[in-house]
Amino acid sequence: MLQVTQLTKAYGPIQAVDGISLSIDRGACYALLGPNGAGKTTTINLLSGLLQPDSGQVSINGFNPATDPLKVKASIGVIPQEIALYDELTARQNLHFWAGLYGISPVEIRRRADAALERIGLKDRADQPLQTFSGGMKRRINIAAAILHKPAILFMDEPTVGIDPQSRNHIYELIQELHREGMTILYTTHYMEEAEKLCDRIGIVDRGRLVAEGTLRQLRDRLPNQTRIHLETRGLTPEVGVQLQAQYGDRIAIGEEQVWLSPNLVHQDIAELVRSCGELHVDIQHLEVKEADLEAVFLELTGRALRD
Amino acid sequence: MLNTIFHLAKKDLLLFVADKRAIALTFLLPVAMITIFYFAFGGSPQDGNNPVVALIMSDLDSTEASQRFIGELDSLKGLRLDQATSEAGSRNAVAEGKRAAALIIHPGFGDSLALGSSLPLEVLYDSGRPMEFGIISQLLYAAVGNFAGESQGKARAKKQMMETFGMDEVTVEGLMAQMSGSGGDAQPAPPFSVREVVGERDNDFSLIQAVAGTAVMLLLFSVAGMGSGLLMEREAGTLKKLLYAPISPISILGGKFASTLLLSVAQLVLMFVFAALAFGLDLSRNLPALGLMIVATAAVCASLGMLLASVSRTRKQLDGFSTILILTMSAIGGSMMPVVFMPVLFQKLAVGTVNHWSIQGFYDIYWRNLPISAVLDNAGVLFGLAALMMAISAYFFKRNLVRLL
Repeated sequence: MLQVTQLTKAYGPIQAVDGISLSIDRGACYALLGPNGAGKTTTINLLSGLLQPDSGQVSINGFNPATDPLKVKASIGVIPQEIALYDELTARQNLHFWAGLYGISPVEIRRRADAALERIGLKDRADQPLQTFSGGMKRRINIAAAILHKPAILFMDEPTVGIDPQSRNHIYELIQELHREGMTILYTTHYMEEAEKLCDRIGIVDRGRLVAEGTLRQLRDRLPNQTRIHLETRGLTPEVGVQLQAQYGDRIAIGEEQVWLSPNLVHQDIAELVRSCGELHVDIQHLEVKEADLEAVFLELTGRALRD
Repeated sequence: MLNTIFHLAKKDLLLFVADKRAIALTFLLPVAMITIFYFAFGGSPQDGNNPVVALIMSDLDSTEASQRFIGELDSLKGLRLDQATSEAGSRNAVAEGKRAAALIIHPGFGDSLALGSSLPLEVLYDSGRPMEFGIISQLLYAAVGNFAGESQGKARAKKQMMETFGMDEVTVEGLMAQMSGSGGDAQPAPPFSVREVVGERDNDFSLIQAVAGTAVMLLLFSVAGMGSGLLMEREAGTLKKLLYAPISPISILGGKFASTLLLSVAQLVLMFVFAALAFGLDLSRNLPALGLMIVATAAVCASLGMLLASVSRTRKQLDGFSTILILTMSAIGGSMMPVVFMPVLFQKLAVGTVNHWSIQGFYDIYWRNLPISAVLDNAGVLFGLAALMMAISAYFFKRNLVRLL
């Protein structure tokens, strides 16, 4: 369904996308996992034909965005990071408008919009303006607006940013439902839980590069040690963090009031780190040994925490 | 592509209808502004009088002759006469800006009139109000000549005019020739046959100026606001989302233009209908020509709105840029006052503004009473400017798309 080969895009000296290659089969859900600024949104914009790549090849549903932009755009649905809807219009008017851009007949638009409103649980609010909706409800309308034309592949660019846990779960269920129905999905996120929960395959991106790719099991298997140590702290200022990082290098990763220890650290290192924390007036609140997850994989591959 | 443009335009119209404040600003503000400008240009729903200028005077002579002269002044149409009890009162009224000019009738007026010598009249004026003073001077010349002629015969009146106003003989004779046919009217008749060739029918020049001038100026402000909708869509992310859809960027601009054009036509129609209902503008004269000029004016204004939105990076930039441009064009192009009152240089510059071509077209229809063929030039220029501005808008819109991402 989607083939990307050596895709690159630079903005001046900044290499936003640096030789990304990936392939998504029909009906698969693929997560592009990486921190903010890793190049996920730029990749989506390149795939959807909004940006021209500096080099590389893209094929979506058999079409090339560079030569057949309108055919590619007709094949895709995009749920952007921001809630891009018209607040003054009702939910139904919004759905009718967005679906109308894809050449669907008015009768069919009405039918699909009603079904979509039912599906996202907002049928009773269909004729109310969006300015009366919560952020989570708008997110659901945002998703419905992107799938009314039944796209061959759906690009979801961090669709759960800034919403409450209940709405987030509602959106997860919707995505899982779409996936079960056979829709091909490319899902970008910086939440490892989402990638683990929703997608069959995961690509880890950092600084524009795809640093690893595979199923969750395959990515975990890349780690020499399946466990890791996590410290929760108090008093870990950025200045102290810099000192610790200088002392231990890539054997630790510093986050906000937390430290991840590489499984490669030997016991003496751990004892020394605890002592250093004490000397730097950093209290250790909690110490936990965890099973390796995507966070650990990311740390292993990049030397940085995913949410830095 | 046309279907997409209509679809996008329909969405903009729905958004417009949902915004009560925008409706009020688009349709009620122009009505209020036409009313204000109509009265400001001297129109009046009660009568068709010319603009009234006010003169304050002090009669220090207080003789039967000075009282008769005051009666003569008081009978002039277009002049409102107020009296101050002292010379200082009149002087202060001018100094404080309450009046443009003051007339002092010094002691000895009656005697001088009887002797045929120079009349002891003094006019004090504010040099910052030359237009009002010019009208007052004309009225005073006429009144003094008339009064002196009636009182003491033509030869003595001529001598007195020369002495009182320091005029040469030829000028005074010209004035007196005009006065001979003017009776008590303030407007001296010129020394030749006069017949009005335009504005012979019911429409009032003040009304046409107010409607045409105000309509174009307010429409320009409205379309700048509508054009900013393009930038609002960019800020809200909906423009980027539109670009994900299988439509060309030009159809996005086209949709915005179409909705702006429709609302502009509606706004202009409302203004002319209001002028007809409230002030009696005779719309029935040449409806096809009016329709053509309305569409041409709406098209050029809408395309200017698109141009401003396409070249601006932020709404703040658009607001500042459009305010300067629209006020300048409106001032030079005749929206604020008829171009004939402006310096020659400004009259030449006016042809570079959309206001000029539009307002002159409406003059042709409602003041000069010309057929539709007479406004084809104006409409052609406006459509040409609209096409040019849309082409430039399309170029900038496509070029700036990358900034949207």
